[in-house]
Amino acid sequence: MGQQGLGEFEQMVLLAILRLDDEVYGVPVTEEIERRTGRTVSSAAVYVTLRRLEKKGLVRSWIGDPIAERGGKPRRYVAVEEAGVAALRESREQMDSLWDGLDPAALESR
Amino acid sequence: MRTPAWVVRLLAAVVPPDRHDDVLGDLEEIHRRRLARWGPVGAGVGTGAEGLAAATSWAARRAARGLAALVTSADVRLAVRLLWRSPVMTVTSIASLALGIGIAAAGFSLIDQVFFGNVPFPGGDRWVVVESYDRETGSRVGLDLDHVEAIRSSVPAVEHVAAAAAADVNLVHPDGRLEPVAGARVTPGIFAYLPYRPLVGRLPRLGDGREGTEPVVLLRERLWHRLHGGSPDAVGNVLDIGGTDHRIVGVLPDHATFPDGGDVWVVLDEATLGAPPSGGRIAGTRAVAVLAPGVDAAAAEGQINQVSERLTAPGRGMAPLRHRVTPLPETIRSAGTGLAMGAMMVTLLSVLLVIAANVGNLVVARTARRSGELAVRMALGGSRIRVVGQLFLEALVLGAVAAVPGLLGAGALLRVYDRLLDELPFWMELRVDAGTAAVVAGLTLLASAVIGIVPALRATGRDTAGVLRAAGRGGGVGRIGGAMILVEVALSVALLGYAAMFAQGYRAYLEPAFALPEDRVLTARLQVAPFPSAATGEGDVGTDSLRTLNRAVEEALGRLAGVSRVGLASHLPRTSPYPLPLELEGRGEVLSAPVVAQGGGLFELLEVEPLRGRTVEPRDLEPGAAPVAVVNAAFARAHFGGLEVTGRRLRLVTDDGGAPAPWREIVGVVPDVMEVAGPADAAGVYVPLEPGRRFSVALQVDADPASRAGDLRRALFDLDPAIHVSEVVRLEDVGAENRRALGILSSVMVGVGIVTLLLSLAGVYAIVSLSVTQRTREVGIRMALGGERGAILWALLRRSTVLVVGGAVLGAGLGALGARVRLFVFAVPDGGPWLFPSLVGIMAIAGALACWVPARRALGVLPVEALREE
Repeated sequence: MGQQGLGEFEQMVLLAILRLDDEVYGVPVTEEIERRTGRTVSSAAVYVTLRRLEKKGLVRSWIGDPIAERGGKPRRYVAVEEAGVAALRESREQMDSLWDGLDPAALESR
Repeated sequence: MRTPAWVVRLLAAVVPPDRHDDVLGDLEEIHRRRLARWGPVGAGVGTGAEGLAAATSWAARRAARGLAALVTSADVRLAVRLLWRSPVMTVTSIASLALGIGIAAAGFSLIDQVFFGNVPFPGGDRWVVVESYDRETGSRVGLDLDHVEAIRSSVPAVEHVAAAAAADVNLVHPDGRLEPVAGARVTPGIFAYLPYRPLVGRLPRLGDGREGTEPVVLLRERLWHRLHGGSPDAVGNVLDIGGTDHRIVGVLPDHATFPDGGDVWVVLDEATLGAPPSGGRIAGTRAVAVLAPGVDAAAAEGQINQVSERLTAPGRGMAPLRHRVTPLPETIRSAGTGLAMGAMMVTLLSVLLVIAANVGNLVVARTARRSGELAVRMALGGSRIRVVGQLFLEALVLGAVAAVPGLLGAGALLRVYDRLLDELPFWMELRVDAGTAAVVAGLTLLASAVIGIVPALRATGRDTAGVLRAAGRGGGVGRIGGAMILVEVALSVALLGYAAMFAQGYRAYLEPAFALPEDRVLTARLQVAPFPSAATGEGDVGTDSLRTLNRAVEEALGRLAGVSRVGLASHLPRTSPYPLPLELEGRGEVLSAPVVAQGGGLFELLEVEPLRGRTVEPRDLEPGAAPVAVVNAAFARAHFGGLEVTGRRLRLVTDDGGAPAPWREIVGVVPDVMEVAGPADAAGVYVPLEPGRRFSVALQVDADPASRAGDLRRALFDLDPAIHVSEVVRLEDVGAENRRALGILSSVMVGVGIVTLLLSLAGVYAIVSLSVTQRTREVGIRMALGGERGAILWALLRRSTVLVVGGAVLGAGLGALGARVRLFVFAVPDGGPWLFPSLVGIMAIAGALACWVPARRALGVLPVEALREE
C-alpha cells in the first residue's frame, strides 16, 4: 500500500471478509460489521468499498451461479488477495506503533 | 413473496447497471429471510426502509460523481474559454454578481437576526421578559416580592423567574485605581437554563448572594486572563467591586454573553431577586422568566395578571399592577425597527434589481453576439438542450466565481458592524450563517439559470435561418434591453442621489449649529445603584433620596480643583435624544420634539446665553416649583412663528393611561444647541431635571478635560462606590461612537451607490457597443452613400441616449422621494436644487461617452471594410 494506507471502513470490510470462512458476498459482510462493531452500516457503502478495494487489487470477486432465493440473480463473491492481507498488516503495524507506550487506562481519566 | 416492486424500480434507477444483480439480489435474499422471521408486513416495512436508505445513498454518490465529472468536463473548459474571450463583460458580470450576492447575504442576515432571530440554545424559545406597570399611573415599576412569590407558587406557566440586567461596576485595583467594567447582576438559578459551563470553578448556586453571606462574582474569560493570567488559582480570590469584596467562584468562557456581554456577573439573592434589604420592589434589573414547555407568552401573561388581580384586590393595600410578558427576541422589535428594516429591504432590493438588470443586459448582449454561432451549431446538428446547457453552464461559472468574493465581503461587513454595535442583544450575532449562505447560493443558482437559459432559449428558437439572417444584418437595443437600461440607470441614480443626501445630512450633523466650549468641558454618564447607599441615604431609593444624591454629586464635583461649574442633564449635546410627544396649549394637536431635562446652570456652563427670557435655574428643581420649559430657537420659529414665546405653555403627552402631565410655562428661548438632526430638524425643548438614577454630568475645567477624568472618578467613588461612571470624555467626543457608525454607514452607502452607477454605465457601454458593432455594415452603407457623420452618429446613439437620460430623470424623482422618509437620528436633507440635476447631467455625459466610444470606432472603419463586415 505504501504511502496511501487503508481507510477505517476499508479495514473493517477486509477484516469482515477474512473472518467469514464461507463464500463471502455483500450481505454477510454487512451483517458481520454490524454485529462486531454495533454500528449501523449502509449496504451501499459496503458495495462501493468492495469495488474500490477490487480496483486497488486488494480483493477479487467472481460471479456465482443464479440462485432461486435471490430471484434467479447470482451472487458476487469476494475474497481477500495477498495484497489485501499485506495492507491490513501494514495498517495494524502503524496503529500499534501509535498506541505503543500509551496506557489505555490513563485515557479513561481524560 | 418478492421484494416490493417499487423498491426494485427505485434501486434499478439509481444503482449502476453492472451492480444490479449484486444489490437487488442481496436485497431479495434479505427480504426472504425477513419474511420467514417477521411475516409479510414486517418484511415489507423493513425491506422498504432499507431500500429507501440504499437508494438515497446510491443517488447521492451518483450525483457527486456527476458533479465531479461536470467540473472537469470539456463543457466547463469551453465555458471558461468563452468567458475569457470577453474580459470586460466577464469581469463586469462577476463584479455585479459579487456585489449583489454580498449585499443580499449581509442585508438578509441582518434582517433575519432582527426579525427572526431566536435565543440560540435549547429551550431559548421559552425565555420571556416580564414587565409590570402601575395601573393608576401607567408608569413602569419593578416586581415586589409578594408578586415574585405568587408567580413562583401559583403560575404554572412560569417554570423559573429570575432577575438579570447589565450593570456596569467599578473595579477597584489593589493600588486604588478605579476601572469601570461592563458587568451584569443576575440571580443564580438562571444559569441552569444557560448552556455555559465554567472553565474553572463553579456556577453560582442557590444561597449565593443572600444577605449576610459573602458576595460572590463570576468573571468572564478575557477579564480572568487580564487580571489573573488565566490561572485556576483565581477562583477563591477576592475582587473589590464598588468598594465591597466579592469572592470569585468561577470563570465563564468568552462566548457567555448573557445578559449583555459584560465581564463580571454579580450574583443576587435568588429569594428576593435582588430587591433592597428593606423590602420594596426589584429595581435595576429585569424580571426574566423561563416558561414551562408548551406554554406561550400570552398564556403566561394571562395567568400572571390573574394572580396579580387577586393580590392587589381592593382592601389589600397594594397598588394594582398589570403585567406584560414578551418573548426575549421580540423585545428589540418595535415600529421604529420595522421602519428601518423596511427601508433597508427596499434599498437592498433596489440594488439587487440594478445588478440583475445589469447582468441580464450583459448576458443578453453576449448571447446576441453569439447568436450566429449558436444558430450554426444547431444547423450542424447540435441539440437545443446541449446548446442551452452550455450557456447555462457559462452563467453558472459566473455565479460560482462571484459567490466567493460576495460571501466573503458580506461576512467582513457584518463582522465590522458586529464590533461597532457592541450593545447587540446577547442572542444576536451578525454573521453570514450557513442557512443564509445556502439561500443566497440557491438564489445565485436560480439567477444563473434564468440569465443563462432564457436568452439561450430565445437565441436557439425555431427560426434558425432567421437568426442567421438577423445576425448578418445586425440589430439594435431591443425592447427588453432598453427597459433594463432604463431601470438600472434610474435605480442607480436614485441610490447614489439618496446616498449623497445622506452624506450631506451626516456632514451637517457633524458640524455643530452652535459653538460650544468643547475643549474645556469634561462629561460623564452616571448610573446610581437601585438600593440605599451612602449617598442616597436609608430607605427605598425614591425621589427624595435621588434628589439628595444629585445635590451631593454637584457638590462633590464642584469641590474638585480646577472645576468652575457643574451641570447635570438627561442628555448632553449631540446625543440625539428621541423625540417625545408634546402638546401646545390651545392647539389640540400632538407634535414631537426631543426633550432634554437639565439641572440649573448647564447653559451657563456651556456659555449659552438665552435669546429671550431665561434658562432653567436651580429654583426650578425644588419640590413644588412651578413647571417650566425652555425651547430653542428652531422650536419657537417652527411652532410659533418667531421668538416671542415666553408665557406660552406646553406639556408632555403620556400614553400610559395615567393623569396628564402638567402644563409648563415657556420661560426662555435659547440658541439651537441640540444638534439632533441638522438644520432640518433641530427643534427641541428643555425641562428641569427630575431626580433619577441615570443622568449625565458636565464639568467646566480650567485645563485639558482629560486630565481631570481620574479626579472625577475618585470623587464619585468616594461619595458612593455604587455609582457607576462611564463615558468620561470631553464634550467634543460625546456621541463619537454613534457618529463613527453613521459615518461608516454613510461611506458604505456612497460607495455602493458609486459602484452601482459604474456598473450601470459598464452595462450601457456593453449593450451599446454590441448594438453599434452589429450595425457596422449599415454604417458603412450610409457613409458610402455620402451620409453625414453627425447624422449617422445620432442615428446610432439616439435611442440609447434617450434611455439613459430618461432613466436618470426617473431616478432623480425616486431619490428625492427617499429624502422624505426619516430613518435616522438626523433628517436627510432634500439635497438642494442642484444635486439631482447634477446627477442627471453627469449620467447623461457619462452615458453619452459610453455610447460615443463604440460609435466613433464604427465611424472610423472604412466603408469598404464595413461592407465586407459579417
